Parts: sequence; C-alpha cells; structure tokens
Amino acid sequence: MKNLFFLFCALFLIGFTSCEPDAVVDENRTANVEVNFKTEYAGTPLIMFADETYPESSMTMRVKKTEFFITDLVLLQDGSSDETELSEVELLKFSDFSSEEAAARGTARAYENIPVGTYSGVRMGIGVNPDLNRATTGEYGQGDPLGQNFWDGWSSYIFAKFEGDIDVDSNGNFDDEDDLSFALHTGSNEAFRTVTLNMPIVVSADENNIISIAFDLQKLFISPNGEVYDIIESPSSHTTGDLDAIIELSDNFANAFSVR
Amino acid sequence: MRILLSFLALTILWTSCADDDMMIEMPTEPGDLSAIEYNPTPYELPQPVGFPAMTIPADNPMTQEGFELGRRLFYDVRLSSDDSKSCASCHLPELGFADGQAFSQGVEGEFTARSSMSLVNIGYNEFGLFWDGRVQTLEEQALLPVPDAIELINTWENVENMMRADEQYPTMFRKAFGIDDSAEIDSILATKAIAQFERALISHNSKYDKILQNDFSVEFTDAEQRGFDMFFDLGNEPGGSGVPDAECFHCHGTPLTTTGQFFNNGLDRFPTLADYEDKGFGAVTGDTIHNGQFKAVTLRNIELTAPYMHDGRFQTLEEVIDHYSEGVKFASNLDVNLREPLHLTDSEKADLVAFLKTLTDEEFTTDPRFQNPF
Repeated sequence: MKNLFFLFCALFLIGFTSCEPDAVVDENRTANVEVNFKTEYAGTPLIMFADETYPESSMTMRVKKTEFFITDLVLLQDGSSDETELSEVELLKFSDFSSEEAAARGTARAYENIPVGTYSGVRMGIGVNPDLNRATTGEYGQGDPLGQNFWDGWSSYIFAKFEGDIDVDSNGNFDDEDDLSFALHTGSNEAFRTVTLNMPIVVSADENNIISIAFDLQKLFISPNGEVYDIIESPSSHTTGDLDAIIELSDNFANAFSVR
Repeated sequence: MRILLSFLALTILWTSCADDDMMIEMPTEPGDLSAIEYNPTPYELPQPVGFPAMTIPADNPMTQEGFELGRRLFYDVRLSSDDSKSCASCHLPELGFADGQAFSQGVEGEFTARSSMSLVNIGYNEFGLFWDGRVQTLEEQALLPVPDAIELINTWENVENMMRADEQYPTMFRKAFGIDDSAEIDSILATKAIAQFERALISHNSKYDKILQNDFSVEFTDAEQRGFDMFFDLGNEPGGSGVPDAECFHCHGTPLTTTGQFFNNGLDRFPTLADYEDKGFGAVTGDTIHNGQFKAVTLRNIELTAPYMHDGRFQTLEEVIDHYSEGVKFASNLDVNLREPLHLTDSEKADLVAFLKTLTDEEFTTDPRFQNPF
C-alpha cells in the first residue's frame, strides 16, 4: 500500500512537471542564432541555369534569378504572445548559386544575443511590410537592403524577382520562336504575405544554433489547391495590369516555405 | 655695418613673426610639415532627393582639403611617365567624365581594352567598379592607372617622389591628412584624396531631377513625357499614355539610373557562354554564367558620354535604342527583360531619346569645383 502511495506521488509529480509550458525562454542568457535560407525545386537544391521541368508539363525551365525580401523575422513562443525579433528586413539573393554545392549551402544570416530556450516556430513577412513599404530607397544608405529594388511605377519595393527561360518543346534550345523568358516580379502592399512555420526550435547557450528555412520554387507555380500558374499566358508581371498574376504568385509564394 | 645688418635681420624676423601663418608654415627641417596647421574642414556632400546616403569609408572621411588635393592630383599630368596624361585625360567633365572615345589612348598611343567609364555619381557604386566589377573601392581603383602598361605607364615611386618634391603637394597633404613629414606622402594617401574628389562628383540637377523635386518652373515636353513613361513602364498604368514598355528601368532604375549590377544585354552571339571573347564580369567571378555580362552604367549625362557600351560600338543614343528595339542577340544569360524585340516606332525611339536628354546636368558638368585647377 505504501508503495502504491509513493508510485501515485511520483506519477503526480511527473504529470505536474509535464504540465509546465514547453516554451521556456530565459531572457537572461543569450546565444547566437544562424538562419540558413535555401531555395529548392521539388525538394532538391535549386541550381541556377540547371534544367528543371515546369510543373505538370514537359517544358524545360532554367531559373536565372531568384531574390526576395523578408521582413519581421521572429521566433515564436508557444502559448505566449511574446516573440523574439531576429531581423527587421533581409534581401535574400540566390542568383549566383550555379553549383550544387552553392545551392545546397544556401545563404546564411547570423543574429546575436537571442535568448536561449525553446521556441515554437518562426514567423516572417514575405515581401516588405506596409510600414517599411511607405519609404523609398532615398531613406536608406548604400548597402542597406531597402536601398535597392524599388519599383517606381508602383511606389513599392519589388518584393520578389523570379526570372528564367522556358524551352517549350524541350528540344534543348531555349531560343526557338515559341520559347520564352519569364520575369515574375511581385510588389505592392496587396502582395505582402505573412508566413508562420511551426516547429520546436531550441536555442542553446552551448551549441551552434542553426535554423534552416527552405523555399521551394516549384510551389511558386502551383497553388495550394493544385492549380498550375499559366506561365505561357503570363510570363511577366511588371504593371498594375498584372495584379491578378501577382496576387496568385504571392499566394503560392507564401505556401512554398518550410522550416527545419 | 654689422650692427645695422643684425638690426635689419631682426626686423625682418619680427615682421614675419607678426604673420602667424607664415611663421607656422616655416618648416624646421627639410620635409618637416609639423608646423603647418592641420585642421581639416568636413566636406558636406549634397543629399539629393531619393538618393541613398553615400557610404564613406571610415578611414577616408570627406574633407575640403582632401577634395582639393584629390582634384589637383586628378588633373596632374605628372602622374604619367611623360607628363602628358592625367586621370582627367579619359574623364573630362564636359563629356560627363568620360572621354568620347571607344577606347582610350595611353601615353604611348596604345589603346585600352574597354571604353572609359563615366564617373558621374561614382561614389554610389555598390557592386564593383570598372565594366567587370574587378575592384570594390574608389581608393583601390585609383591605384591602378599609374602603373598600368597602357594608361599612364609610370610607377608610384616616381609619382611619390614628384609629389614630395612639389612646391604645393606637401602642404596640401599635411592639411588633408595631418602627416608630419613629406616623406609620408605615398600612393595610399594620394588615392584617398582622388577618391574624395570622385565621391564629390554628384550629378543631381538635370531637368529630370528638377521635375522629381517638384520644381514647377520645369516640365517635360510631350515627347519627353512619353519617353519617361516608356522608360519606367508607366504607359499602361491607369491614366497612362499607352506607350509601350521599353524595359529600361530594370537595369537603370531610379534614382541613380543604374542598379550597378551586371547584365548580358545581348550585344553578341556566341555558341556557348564559354566562347565569349571578352568575358566581362565572368572573368572576375570565374563563373561562366557571368560571361558577357557588363556593368549597367548610369544614364545621367548619357547624352555626353558617347560612344556607348563597353567597347564603344554605338555612336549615338539612337543606335543604342535600335539595338534594344530589334538588335538583341540571345544568350543563355541574356537579361530576360530584353528577350522580346521592342519593335519601337521611329517616333517612340525619338521620345525615348528626348527623355534621356533630360538627364543631362549642365550645372554639374560646368561646376567650377570639378574643373582643372592647373
């Protein structure tokens, strides 16, 4: 009977302990965090100028430029509205990743003095948030992410650029008469999206803290309900007349991220 | 007599002591500059509307004295081996700080491999200087023409000796950089001064700028407005003039009319990217995807900087626009915005040229601060 009593107490204590919040962040201890951004195509590293197959077609595609802004990158805490800001704005460029090694490596950003603890995920804005998008490049210095990629016609930053060529009949030539290039640019507040990626993230004082965020370009061309973007019909998006295409791409874009 | 001479000498000394500057600038030993006042005045760069704040290196702040020294060096032909050429020989203010030649002639008559680039707003450069981006800073760039085997064919040792022995340079270096002795004058300080002069070359008073700055005394002509709309792809916006997109702003965006980045703009066709004779940016990065890419230049004062492209192949703006309208050749790294021929009409081409000429800034090209001090 006495043993049963101790067992009950032990189970009670275990149960009590496990009821404590998972997301415990110690503001008094900090560590460095590296976020590694990668681009993929159908789950494998996206190599610039390499042949890929356009979704649900036999067309061959070569991507030549991929770059985009993210804003308000934060770590989230489970069961709390508290969040830890990693970065206000980043302009991520992948256009020089012409080898498998470079593509697999991605581009990293380092953030210092991040409170240690367990976080429940990350959230980020895809594009330039409306507050920052009120500014112009003149308000920033050279080298600042917001000192470039401004879209005068829209009074907006260009949130993202995806460019490349399509070999429509996949004969190996990209300059046949029916082949085309695409220049899919997004921008304006209507194109801003917020993405939340849930996954336990432990920031430890003693270890290298690396978070990998992957963007799968194939999903840019496929909507969450499976519709494929008509790149033959809309190979470029540059003007307000292209807003429908920009909205479609922005919705797809927000669905293309994952965290590891 | 001896007493009289001594009195005269004392009087002269007393009189010269009354002039503080004279007294201070009297070196105590050959090369000693420590008696010369060092109190540099900050050089205030303008902050034109829409321009980013220029990045100034922490180890080379802009000063009035550094700018003046840099200007003198920029125009000094003694930087060349035969005292015939200076930086300004290939960068003339009246030609938008280019030289009007497809290729520039060095001191022995040899030609450079590429066309002289405009220095307009060069301080805003971000992604590497020269057509191929092989140098990152103006200070580094200014080191190169002196020993170049085609350009000035000199040595920095010769130039340093010239500057140390010159009547004015030691004092100017002291006032700009606080050196204590003329022996401290070297290529590093000289190129810092030249870089300061070049950072001051800011063009921001063209007709286009004045319109952007809401100067209501200036307005575009109808042709210029249509050209503006074509340049920035505004013709198809609501209320737009309906003119076609000339795809210019992708590489020549505001406010600097350049992204500063590198593009293949379809000048030549080769079987593969590896076959480019002048690999441009690719020769610097070592990556074939960059072969045939060259820096997008500023279009400010473009009316003055003919001939155009890295090899000066186009003599006029009309030829340039003809190229972009119908002459672009495919390459696998061709900028995607140039792939489809524009098929602009003659009238549309003329409108575009009219707009480009609104980027000419005569206040800049005739600014006395930037002219030859000799």
